[in-house]
Amino acid sequence: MPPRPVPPFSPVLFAGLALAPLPTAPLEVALGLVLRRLHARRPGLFARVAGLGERALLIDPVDLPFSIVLRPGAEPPRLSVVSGDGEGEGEGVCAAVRGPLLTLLDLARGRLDGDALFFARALAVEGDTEVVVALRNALDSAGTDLLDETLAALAPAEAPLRWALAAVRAVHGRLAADLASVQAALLAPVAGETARLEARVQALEAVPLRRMPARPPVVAR
Amino acid sequence: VSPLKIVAPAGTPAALEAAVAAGADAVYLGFRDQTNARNFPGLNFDRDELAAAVATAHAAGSAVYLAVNTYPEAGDPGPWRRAIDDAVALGADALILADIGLLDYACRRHPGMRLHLSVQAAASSAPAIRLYHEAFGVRRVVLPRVLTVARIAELNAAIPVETEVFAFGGLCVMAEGRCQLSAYVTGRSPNRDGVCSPASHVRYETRDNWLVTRVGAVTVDAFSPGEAAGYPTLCKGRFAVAGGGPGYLFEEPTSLDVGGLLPALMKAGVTAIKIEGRQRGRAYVGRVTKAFRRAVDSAAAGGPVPPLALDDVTEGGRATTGAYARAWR
Repeated sequence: MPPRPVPPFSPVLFAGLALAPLPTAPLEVALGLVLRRLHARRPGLFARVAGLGERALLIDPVDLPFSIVLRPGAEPPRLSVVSGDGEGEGEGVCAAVRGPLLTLLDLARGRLDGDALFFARALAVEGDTEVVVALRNALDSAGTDLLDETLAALAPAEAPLRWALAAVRAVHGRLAADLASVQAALLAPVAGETARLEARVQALEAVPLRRMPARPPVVAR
Repeated sequence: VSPLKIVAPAGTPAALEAAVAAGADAVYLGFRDQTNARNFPGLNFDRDELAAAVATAHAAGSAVYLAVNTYPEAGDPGPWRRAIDDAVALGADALILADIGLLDYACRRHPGMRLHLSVQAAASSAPAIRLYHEAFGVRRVVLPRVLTVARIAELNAAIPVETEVFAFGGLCVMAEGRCQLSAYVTGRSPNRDGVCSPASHVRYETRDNWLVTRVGAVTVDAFSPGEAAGYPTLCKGRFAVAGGGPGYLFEEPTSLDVGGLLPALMKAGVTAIKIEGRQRGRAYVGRVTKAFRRAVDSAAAGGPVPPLALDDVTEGGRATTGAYARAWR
């Protein structure tokens, strides 16, 4: 398994660092409940991945300290939460999708196109592509916002969770802007050096290549 | 000059809803099997979903075209004929066919049904298109992506059927319906199985932040860190030849984009433009269809074509006008 991609410098990364010491079991219970309720509400979605059987997909939000091993084609579908990038975890894991949490969420919500994210290298895909493609298409087929579905599946906790999410959204934008300022300040010396080197490369590229000596003319004897 | 009709792709019911909401005049789709050329895992429609799709599209004033555009197995045309019969029974507005046996079946069994000739038939000359019209009553031909706008105008003047041309998305430089590259490496082809470089044979590996793409036993490409990637098809592979460095032999990863050519295509007598991408998500379908709706409406009103601003959804992060405006021979 290759090294985990470097996560973006974001509020999610810091939230993940804070969450790292916590056990994963409660999260696994909550996500398992969501999966079971989604299965009951959207049988058509899971029919699209039924052919995958027990094949498992690792979903790795690179800015969080855990990953999800999902068996969407199993009957019933199952998942488990594992620490870190899931390396060496889970029997039957044959593919992985890695990306920042917010990117993965926007993909699941139908707000972004998976192929475009892949072309831009915003998502990393490894292993058995059939599993990844089937799940992506199945999720996209639902036509609903998976976050809404998830919250609805967690009733009666839906209302307080929506309130909490709204509060997170309210501070996330400001935090992200603050972190961008911090990142720019930290990287300023490196950015200056990079710009200097870039200018030097451009100047070198502008110099014409040294010409090879001309071949002597062929003279008829 | 009549405005171009927009034919949008749908791999799922959600994509169809996005296309219709964005103003598609027609949506093309396929059944969830080998009878269409996008037989990808988790994609396409079952019979109930087609019935619902027809109702949704018709309620919004859009048409539904069903692609049955692969070639049947010898001795077993059953699944393909059932696809045709069911599409007619469920209210599809047109069938997109490539195989002459299926065209013959459809025109005899369902004489009033509108038939379109798939790009998979690779018909690009007036005599070929006239033959499909005279023999099977084909009313529209989807042109291969190898013709200039001038050649399309000449063709339109010489044929008695409508033309539909690709406007955006994946490019195919091969003689479509006859390409054997995928079958050569994986044993499965777009022509017979509906899959080019099937996902079951594709593997991605990350090595030192390089993205390595493999199809079957062949390494197709290796993208450097941060370099925009493309689809894992052999025709877009980067190979080293005769001691030289790696390079694209047939085609680079890039998307077709004819936004700037819309007025010229209208003038050339084209009836419809097709957006490629039944394998893409509903976000792509909605966004691209909406951008073309705005552009076509502006061009039809004699105004300028607004920028489509779709660079971020293109393959390889690049766009081309392909053969339509080629400066090469």
